[in-house]
Amino acid sequence: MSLRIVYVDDEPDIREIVTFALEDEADMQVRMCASGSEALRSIQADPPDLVLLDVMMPGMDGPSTLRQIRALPGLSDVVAAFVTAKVQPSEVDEFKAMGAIGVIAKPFDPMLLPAQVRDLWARHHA
Amino acid sequence: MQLAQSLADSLQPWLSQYVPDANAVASFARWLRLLKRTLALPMVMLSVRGVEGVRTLAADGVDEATAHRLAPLVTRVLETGQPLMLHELPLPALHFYAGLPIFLAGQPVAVLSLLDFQPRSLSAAEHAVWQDVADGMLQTIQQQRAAVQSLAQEARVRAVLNTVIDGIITIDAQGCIQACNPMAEAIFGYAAAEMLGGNISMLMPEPYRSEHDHYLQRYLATGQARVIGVGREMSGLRKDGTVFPMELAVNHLLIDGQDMFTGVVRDITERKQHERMKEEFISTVSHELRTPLTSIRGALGLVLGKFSGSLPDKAKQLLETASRNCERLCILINDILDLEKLTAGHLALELKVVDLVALTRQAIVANEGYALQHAVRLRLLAGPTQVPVRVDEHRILQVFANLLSNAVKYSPRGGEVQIGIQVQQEQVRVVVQDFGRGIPEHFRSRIFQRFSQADSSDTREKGGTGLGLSIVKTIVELHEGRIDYRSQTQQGTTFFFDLPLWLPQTISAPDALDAALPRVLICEDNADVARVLSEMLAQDGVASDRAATAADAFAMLQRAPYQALLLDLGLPDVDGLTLIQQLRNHPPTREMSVIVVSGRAQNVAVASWHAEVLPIVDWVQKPIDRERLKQAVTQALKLHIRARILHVEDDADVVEVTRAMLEDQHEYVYARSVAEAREKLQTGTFDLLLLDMLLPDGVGACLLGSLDTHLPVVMFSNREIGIEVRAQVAAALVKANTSRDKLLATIRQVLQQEGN
Repeated sequence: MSLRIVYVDDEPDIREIVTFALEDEADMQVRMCASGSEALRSIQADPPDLVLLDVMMPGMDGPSTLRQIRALPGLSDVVAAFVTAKVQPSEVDEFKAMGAIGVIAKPFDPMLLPAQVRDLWARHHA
Repeated sequence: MQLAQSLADSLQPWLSQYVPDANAVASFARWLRLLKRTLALPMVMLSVRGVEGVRTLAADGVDEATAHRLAPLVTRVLETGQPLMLHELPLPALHFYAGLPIFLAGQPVAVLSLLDFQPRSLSAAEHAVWQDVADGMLQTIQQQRAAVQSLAQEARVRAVLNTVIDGIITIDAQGCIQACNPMAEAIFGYAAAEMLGGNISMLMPEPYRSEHDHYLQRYLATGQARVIGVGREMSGLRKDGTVFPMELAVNHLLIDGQDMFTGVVRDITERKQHERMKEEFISTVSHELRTPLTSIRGALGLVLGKFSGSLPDKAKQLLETASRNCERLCILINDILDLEKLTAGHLALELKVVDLVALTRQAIVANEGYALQHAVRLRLLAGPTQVPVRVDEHRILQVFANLLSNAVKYSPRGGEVQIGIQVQQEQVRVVVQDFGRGIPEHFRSRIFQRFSQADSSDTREKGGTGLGLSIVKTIVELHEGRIDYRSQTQQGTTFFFDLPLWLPQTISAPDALDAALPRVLICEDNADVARVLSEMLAQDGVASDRAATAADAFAMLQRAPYQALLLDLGLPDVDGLTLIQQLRNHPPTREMSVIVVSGRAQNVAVASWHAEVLPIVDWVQKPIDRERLKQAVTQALKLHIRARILHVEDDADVVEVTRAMLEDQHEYVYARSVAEAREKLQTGTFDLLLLDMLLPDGVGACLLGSLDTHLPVVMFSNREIGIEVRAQVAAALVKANTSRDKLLATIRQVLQQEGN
């Protein structure tokens, strides 16, 4: 059983890095979305185990994307985390208050990213 | 005399151009009429020294031509300062002239002249009247001058008040507005007339409004000041109902025995706006910088991490250079943001009582790798064994990291950096000394400023952002400490910072240092009972802290790990049983072992209630029996900390030593290789993994990725591990630096965190 992840980021380069970083991990399956609205469609069609969201995106930003996902039928409990450079303690607290299970700080080390994702997931289920 | 001289000097030019006002004209006329009638004279006049010759200020019966002809006589009186009396005059019709000089501050400034058509003399009584009238006229002149001066003074003061950029409001002891300047009108949007007589609270929003009257009364009664004599930021209320941020400084004055308060108000809306914009700007910039940096760091990391083996050496070297510089850029951005947060006061310190000696050792270990790269040795000089300070550990480690890396950078290869700790009365000084080239004296004034390095070529040669010392200074000052240095060219540099010593204030304080002891929280409102409990526990080797209320206890339990809670039921804020329920509902403290220590007996109803809400370990009834307490606490601690630990280690001696350290508190299992560890992990369950780095069949870190449960890992290796591995484990220890107590404390702490 691998962990099914949707990663949402408007930056194509970062999507590419994340793809590279996670593609060799046998226990993860990642699909990429380039915007909040794309993520909404993709997640509605096939709900993942974990949604990783960039915060600052044009159009619909990460927090509003999360709110809209949660408004979809059957997805009010979707597990989500933010991947962002906004990691001042007050910002992290805000994200957690929105119901995110955690925050992965940008810039992240791609070699550690699989472990960070696993760690987030495990801690959520601990 | 000198004062008199200067008075006369200042009066003379004024008098020469003096024009009597209406009051003075009337007064002079009265005086002259009085003089004329009393002495039965046809003509009298008062003259002063003018810009050109003498001037007539007032006259009765004297025409202008006559006055003009008499000028030489008046001048003579002024010049000699002597009264003059003549019967032969340059005017044929007149046969009597008498001139009396009027003195001010010893100088003749005016002349009161008497004239008659016949020769005559003056009796002593007549002379006295003459003199009195002269004095009276001088007084009139002085009064007018004083009035003019005070008007000028007031106009000047008013001009200042009207043009300052601060609003100024004066109120009386009842808070009634007595005066305000135009800026106050502009700030609050009221006309002066609308404010005068109103209460100052009209300019304040809630909650200041309700507090205010009470506040003035309390200040007058007790002298307790919150804004009086000090400036502070608060909110103001404009006429249109908008609330704005303002800075208020209030001074207390006594005017004619009345208490008055002058408030100086500055509207800081704009400043606040700028601060907000700056914050937003920094947040945005940091995001904009970090986005491309994420891609660059990610791409480099992936290439170096995944394809390093297949890269030509030269290419690998270049990529490593790029990667190193990318890390440096990340650090720079973090430093800038850190500094911004620090200086803007947005950084809350997480203060804890810690042992500065232990913290220093930790800092030395953490920076030893860097020192080794530069072939420099870090040496802790002999000093005190334990120094309690209340600091934010993370931030003080940051201070050490900066000072140590600077000292290392500027040390010659093969050199030594010495670290000393000196206790001085109520503070402790930490000294970091290098024997490098020293800091040029001309650099002293700039050394703690941002982006400053002694030599602009330093940035390239020595690395670093030029922000380090600025951050260090800010952190030290946030801890109410100070930092400075001494340096001698070619001899070396000594940086030192002072921190206040932490002095025990609560009963449990001395134990706060002893991290190796199990620690419990005593929630008890009676300080004496708490002290007794704490002493009993201390005798059994259990450290304790005290909370006086349920709210405090709840907060402390969220912040720090405790092995058990000793709880009094009758607390000032909420009942102890309610606290238990709160703890039960809150995941981090759900499993907290609670020992009730109460005067209440454990009745059946309560017993059945607590059986279902929480494992209450025990119920100790007051008065406390020492043996009974010991038994309860021992039981609670046992429940808490016995863990099953897998130690992966190939060195049989290390296994034996570690087993000896852990065995009596934990269940100890070991594996000699990565393969054996995998096997043991598959067949058994463990609470914690103690992991060596170098094993016969691979590095210990390769186990990290394959742990499928969330098993906490403590690295236990021969040397400091890399930052990337460090990020994946709960703790990292270096064998040579780890005592039994340290190992046990770390394990306890990690288990506690995981338990949460």
